[in-house]
Amino acid sequence: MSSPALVRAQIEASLADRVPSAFARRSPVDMRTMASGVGAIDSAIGGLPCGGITEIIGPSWCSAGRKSLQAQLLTCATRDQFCALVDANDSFDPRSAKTAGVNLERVLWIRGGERGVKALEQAFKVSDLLLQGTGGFGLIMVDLAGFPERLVRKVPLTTWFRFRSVVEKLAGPLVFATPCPVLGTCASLTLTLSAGKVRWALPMPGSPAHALLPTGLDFQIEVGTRRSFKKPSQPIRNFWAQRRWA
Amino acid sequence: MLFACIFVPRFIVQASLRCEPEEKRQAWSHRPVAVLDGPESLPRVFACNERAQLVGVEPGITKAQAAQCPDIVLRKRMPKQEQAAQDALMDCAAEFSPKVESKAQGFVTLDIEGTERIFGPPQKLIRSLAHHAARVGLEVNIAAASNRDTALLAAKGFTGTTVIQKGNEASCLAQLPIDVLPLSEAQAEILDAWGIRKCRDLVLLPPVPLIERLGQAGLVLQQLARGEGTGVLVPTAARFRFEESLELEDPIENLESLVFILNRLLEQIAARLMSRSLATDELTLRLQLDVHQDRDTRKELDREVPDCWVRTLSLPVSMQNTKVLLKLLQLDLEQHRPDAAVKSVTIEARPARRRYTQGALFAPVAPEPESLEITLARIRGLVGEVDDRGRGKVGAAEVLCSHQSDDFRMTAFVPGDNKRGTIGNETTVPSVTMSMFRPPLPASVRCRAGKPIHISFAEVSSEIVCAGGPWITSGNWWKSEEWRREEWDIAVHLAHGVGLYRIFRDLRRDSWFVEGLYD
Repeated sequence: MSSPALVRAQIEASLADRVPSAFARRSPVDMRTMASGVGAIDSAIGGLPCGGITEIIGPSWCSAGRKSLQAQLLTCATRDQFCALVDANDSFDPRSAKTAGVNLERVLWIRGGERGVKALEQAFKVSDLLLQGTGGFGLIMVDLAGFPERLVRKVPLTTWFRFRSVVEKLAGPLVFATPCPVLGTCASLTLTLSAGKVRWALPMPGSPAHALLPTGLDFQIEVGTRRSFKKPSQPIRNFWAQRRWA
Repeated sequence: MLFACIFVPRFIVQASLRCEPEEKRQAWSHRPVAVLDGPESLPRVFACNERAQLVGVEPGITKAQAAQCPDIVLRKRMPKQEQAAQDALMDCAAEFSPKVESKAQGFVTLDIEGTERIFGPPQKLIRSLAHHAARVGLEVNIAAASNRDTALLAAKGFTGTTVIQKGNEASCLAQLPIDVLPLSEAQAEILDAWGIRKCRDLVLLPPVPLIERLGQAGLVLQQLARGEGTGVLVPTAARFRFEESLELEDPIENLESLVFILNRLLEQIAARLMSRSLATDELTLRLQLDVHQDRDTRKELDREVPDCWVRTLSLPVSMQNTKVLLKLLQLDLEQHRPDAAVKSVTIEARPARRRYTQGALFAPVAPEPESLEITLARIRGLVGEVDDRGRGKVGAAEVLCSHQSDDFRMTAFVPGDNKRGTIGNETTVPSVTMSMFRPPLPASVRCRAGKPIHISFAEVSSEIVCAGGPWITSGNWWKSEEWRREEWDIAVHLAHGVGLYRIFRDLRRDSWFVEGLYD
């Protein structure tokens, strides 16, 4: 037996009573999915992985479609489930979410109020309480998108690993919205959004400025899957969100 | 007819001790206990237990005299506790019969005719009744008989549980002392002078001479002693007031000790609620504070410390689980600690219908309400309860019917509701949603011909590539919170792409703000 294989066998044998087959490759688990409500995503990967973390990434200060995607997820989930939204920056707009079709009665909205590191810590503590304190939520969404990148990058990787192990026992998906990719291999699905294009209603020549209305946004979306989650069956390029008035 | 009567021997003492923690009650059961009443300057013993009587304590002696008895426990009389004990007794009885009469403190009579099929024979029923009374902290004597008066006399005279079969009333009551009868002072003196000590002696007296000497009342007493009572049970209306209180011997300063007291009081309330098949949806905690002893604290706080600390806990769903209620109270007190030591505790529960275990067959999976409520209380402890505009920070949002943007209120998040609610649309096309800045970000805007051309705020400073507006809105002009503004939707080019913002100019202050980002 070659020496690396021998060392490996020895380590495995010594850890056998605590960690059975420590170096064995785990077979992929077939994850259930929850429909996202965005046709392009659902047809490509079936939806968000239940019992896994989904990371929605979008640049700060840009209209990248994070909130529209979140609202669409909530709309879809609240049709027959209860959801929790940890809004670390207190940026959720219930009026436009209601217009988008979110059943607000079924969304537990936890509004952060602090700024900086304290708000981030608060958001993680609240998420921990929700994940460990009570079950029954079909979707838990943690919105960290409003934080500066440098702050979110400081979150230790162990935190994400902890969330990954906890979420495996959940019946629904756990979604993190972040300004930059930070979850690494802990995310089963990564949806990277890039800045969209604004669609304006074209007024007649000579129309006043108040006739110029933004009617929708085109967003670019890139799907990355990790761990056991399936690969997209077809490429996803973009999705479109239209503006609705309450 | 069949009646049962519950009698609480030494009711005042038992009422005074029933809300004490179990360990304390156990320890005190072997010690003399006296309850004091009267003016603060000269309190006197109002009631005492058997052990106290054995060492010479009797009603009427002063506190100083009673205190000379070694190891004695002196308690202050609290009419609230007596009322609560009587209510608890009524609640116990109400679990077994709808017809319950409470004519005097420590007595409850109930009509148990026709309850055999539900609770079994009378022996079994009164044993269960005694068990329920023990659950609310009362040690009782219970008797069942074919008439109300006989049941009452037997409960007063026999210890434990007694069932008197029809026809045996006279022989059973014969051995009881004459004191069990409702004698006036004069009647007691006369009978004592005649050497009448037991009911048997009274029954043997000839009726005519008895009437000649004691009047018709004498004949009634003889009938009672013979077990021929004719009293009619008049049901008493239930008060449905679930309040328990406890006055502490020494003021409590730390929360941990207070939790033990709260636990005992909540156990009592929960037992009573269960007896009535009820739960609670609001708990009110009243703490009487020892402010006079904490003058230093008052100086430190530099404000007036109230004598009474009141916390009201509104529960989104009705509950009766003591552990959950205790945890919620504990979490609330951790957030709102009283400013001084606590000298008396009162908890009042507002009764509510019990929650259905299963609302509907196709109801969505929902978080378990009780554990969710504890989690939410913990979260409130972390993020706070309300924001600077007085809106809740945890709950379900409700959009208000107003033209003012970002106008919403927070309501309690109640899972388990099977309503589909107000779903706007079920189409697959997502809707553009806004990311709000709370409070709106102050911005510096440059305009040309009344149209914004450049904006700078926070980390953004850019030319405006497209702007739609203005849309003038206003409201609340009849109030002090009047608002008037000029809204614009603007698009700016940023390093990573386009940003579509809603900005507004506050016309009252003539300043620009960024309200949100279409994201």
